Parts: sequence; C-alpha cells; structure tokens
Amino acid sequence: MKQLFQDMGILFVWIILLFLFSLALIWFTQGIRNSLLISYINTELKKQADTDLLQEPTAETINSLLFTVEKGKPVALLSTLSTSYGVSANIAFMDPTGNVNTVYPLSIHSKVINQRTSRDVMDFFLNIWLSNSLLAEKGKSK
Amino acid sequence: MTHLDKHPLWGSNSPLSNLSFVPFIVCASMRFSIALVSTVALLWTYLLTGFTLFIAKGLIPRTFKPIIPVFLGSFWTFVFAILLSMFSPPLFHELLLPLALVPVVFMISGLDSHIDMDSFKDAMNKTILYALILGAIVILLSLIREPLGFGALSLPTKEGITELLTSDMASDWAIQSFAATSGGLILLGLTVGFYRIFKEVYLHYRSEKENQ
Repeated sequence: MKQLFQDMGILFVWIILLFLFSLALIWFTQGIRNSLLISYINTELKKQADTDLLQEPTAETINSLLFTVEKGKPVALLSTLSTSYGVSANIAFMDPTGNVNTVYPLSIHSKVINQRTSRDVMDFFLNIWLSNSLLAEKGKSK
Repeated sequence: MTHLDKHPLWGSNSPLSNLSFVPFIVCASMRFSIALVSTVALLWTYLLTGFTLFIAKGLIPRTFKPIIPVFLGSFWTFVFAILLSMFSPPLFHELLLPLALVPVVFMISGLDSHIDMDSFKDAMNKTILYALILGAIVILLSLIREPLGFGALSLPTKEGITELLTSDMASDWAIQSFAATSGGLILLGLTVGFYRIFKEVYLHYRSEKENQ
C-alpha cells in the first residue's frame, strides 16, 4: 500500500513537471509566435485582396485565434476546416452582428481544399465557427 | 503469454491490433509535404521520448510504468509543434491532425516496454528504426496518393504546403478518390495484403532453407 502511494506521488510529480514545462514553453514563445503569424497572414491577405489587416490576437483556444482588425474590435477568426481532402487553415472576417463576410484560405493547399469542398460542408463549418467559444466569450463581455 | 499473443482478438497478429496505425498513416500520407514533416515529427518524438525514458528509468514508478510514456510522448510532440509554428505558422495549422496522432503512434508501438531492457545503443537504434520504417511507409504512400489525388507534388516551406510540378490540367485529371480518406484506406489495404503475401513466401523460403 505504501509503495502504491509512493508511486502515485512520483506519477503526479511527472505530470506536474511536464505540465509546467509546457506552460513555460507556451508563455515564452507566445510573443514571437503571434508576431510571426500576424505578419504571415497580413502578407497573404495583401496578395489575395484589398482588405483590412490584422492587428493583434485577443483570445485563443486550441485551434482558433481571434484577432482585432480595427482597434478594439475583434472581427477576424483563424480556424481550421477538416475535410476528407485534408485540413485547411482559414481566416474569417465577420461584421459587428457576427455574420461571416469573407473567408480567406492561408495557403495554396488550403485554397485547393476549400475549392474541392462542397458549399454545404463549408456552410456547416461556418456555423460551427460562429458557435466558437471565443465568439461566445466576446458576446458575454459586451 | 504465447497463448494470449495468438488470440484472434487480443493477439499481436489480430486484425484489431493491425488497425492501430491506420489513422496516422491515412492522415500523414495525404500529401508528400505532410508525410515529410510527419516523419521528422516521428523521429523527434521517438528519439527524445526513448532517450528520456532511458535516462530516467530509475525515476519511473513500477505501478504506473505504462502511463509515463503517454505524457512524455505528448510533451515532446508538443515541443515539436511549437518549433514548427515558429518556422511556419500555416504549416503548423495544416498539420495539426497528423501531429496530434504522433504520440498515439508511439504509445501503441510498445517501444517503452523494451527500452529499459536494452542497452543505450540498442534502445536508441530500435527507436530510430521504428520511426524510420513508419516514416518510409507514409512517404511511399504519399508519393502515390498526392500525384493521383491532387495532380501535384508538394514540399513543406515557410509559406506552408507549396505545390511543385502542378498544372490546372493535372489537377483536373487527378483521380480525386485517391486523395480522399477512402482512397487511402483502399491503398493501405492493398499494401498490407501484398506485405503479408511476401512475408508468407519469405518465411516459407527461410524454413525450407533451414530444413535442408
């Protein structure tokens, strides 16, 4: 019994250490990762359309990031779309009422995936994006 | 133990145990660029997890021995994902799914149970070999699936997955079903089938030779 509790203690130390290392890694690299991401997306948006550029991220979940476009207005959501052709990364611009106006794929691969995916599936994913917890949080804070 | 190993449901040659690697192989062999990055992720995770398990074998609790590799494998894949997101943000977002499956593949490989029994050199050689074999399967399948499914060949770059050797005509003519998951499963089924036929022939040849 004593051995079991000792082993449980060691297991918890392992889990806590790995968790802390992961958190430290996220914290230390957050600034550089966000600036690289924004710089890449803005370069890509300039290539694709004459649209507003992203300013800074305001919230984050495991696979989505919400950005401000004009100061203080979070209206661009980076999210992924998983289809049988692969995963495409897209940035969706929304109006103040929360409707998705335009979706820009982030690379040629993402563009090919979006083109091959049927309109119904795309609409299904847009509805999922709109129910995103980041947007729900944004709604609560207003 | 031998009896359990030959069991039709739990044995190492049972249909269910051979299915374990399928989700990773199907996801990672979608495109050549995805296969390349997944192979690097496999090598990174296998090597560093194996190394950590070997170095810290005295600190691993006996009762919960199978649990530690789960957390270690996930941690090292996570470090790889962070490094990838710093190299190329779009590549990171497009490769989230195969990357998420890398620690799962390490867990089901059963390598962790061999590591503490082998010498350091043998343990490291075995982990590299396991990762390279799986990586080679994924790369070979992607070389068939991508030209037939997308009419292109792609490479991982800072701008994400960049297509080489492509044209609108090639893309139009591409056999799209091969890029779809069902196409990958058909191809995988054929590969596994041929592998088993050749294995049987080889084993028969070896036993005949030894009996002579």
